Amino acid sequence: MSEEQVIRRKYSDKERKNIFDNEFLPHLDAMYNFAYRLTFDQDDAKDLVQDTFMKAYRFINSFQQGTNAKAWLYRILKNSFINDFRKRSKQPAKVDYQEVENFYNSEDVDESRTVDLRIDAVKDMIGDEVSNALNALAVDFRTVIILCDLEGFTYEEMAKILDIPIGTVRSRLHRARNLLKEKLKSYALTMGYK
Amino acid sequence: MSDNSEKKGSNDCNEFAKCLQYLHLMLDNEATEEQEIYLKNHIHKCMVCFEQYEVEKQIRELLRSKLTNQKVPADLAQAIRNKVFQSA
Repeated sequence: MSEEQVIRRKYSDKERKNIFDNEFLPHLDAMYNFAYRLTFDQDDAKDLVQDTFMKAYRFINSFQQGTNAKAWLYRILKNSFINDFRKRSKQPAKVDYQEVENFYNSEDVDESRTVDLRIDAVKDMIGDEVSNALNALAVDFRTVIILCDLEGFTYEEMAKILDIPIGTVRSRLHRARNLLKEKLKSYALTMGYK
Repeated sequence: MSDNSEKKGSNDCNEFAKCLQYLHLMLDNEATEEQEIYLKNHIHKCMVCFEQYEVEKQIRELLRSKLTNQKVPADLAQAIRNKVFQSA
């Protein structure tokens, strides 16, 4: 597959409509969920998704029919969120900058480091703890976990969606999972697990 | 079976870093066949890594069961179509 060659196609109106209805719109549910996980707000999620589909249609000539529409749409959505949406939003960014900074400043992620979390503690969690822990993560970390664990994107697809090398996908995921487990661990401790 | 009830840590597996790496790859469907076989054999005999595997798997399952079901507003698809095709 030759990628990143910007081939300008010229779809007819009928073709464009066809692509939009058959290749883009079927991902609406997943896109809305992704948007909601980024914004935590139903109206914002709606706006973000609408925005994404508008852009997708406007730039439809740079989409190659039959290729991975979902990854392409996710990339647009994620960029819209970062570039436009977060700036426009009056909500203060819920980002733990320290967390992000530590991550980017660290030379290399120690992939052997993990959080000692016991299975007994995790088995007793009903799920709310996990979603709360995920939502508390900085957006970069939250995003990789959503894309990987919830949407099932491959590392390669994630690299394209996020515009980062595959190695960075892996280390960011690793870091994200450790941060998630740290939060779960502190929850487990308050519940009396050791 | 010699059971020691002492709490085990990552020090008890001398290949822990490698196992952890394979484990994530496997759960993310990114492991090679060799890595997968290696890990599967390994967790049969290593409690530390077995537990680690269970923890990671459980977290992923909880995430999936808890987080995928936001209801999409019923009129959203139509609203988007209207907007897109109208402005085209």
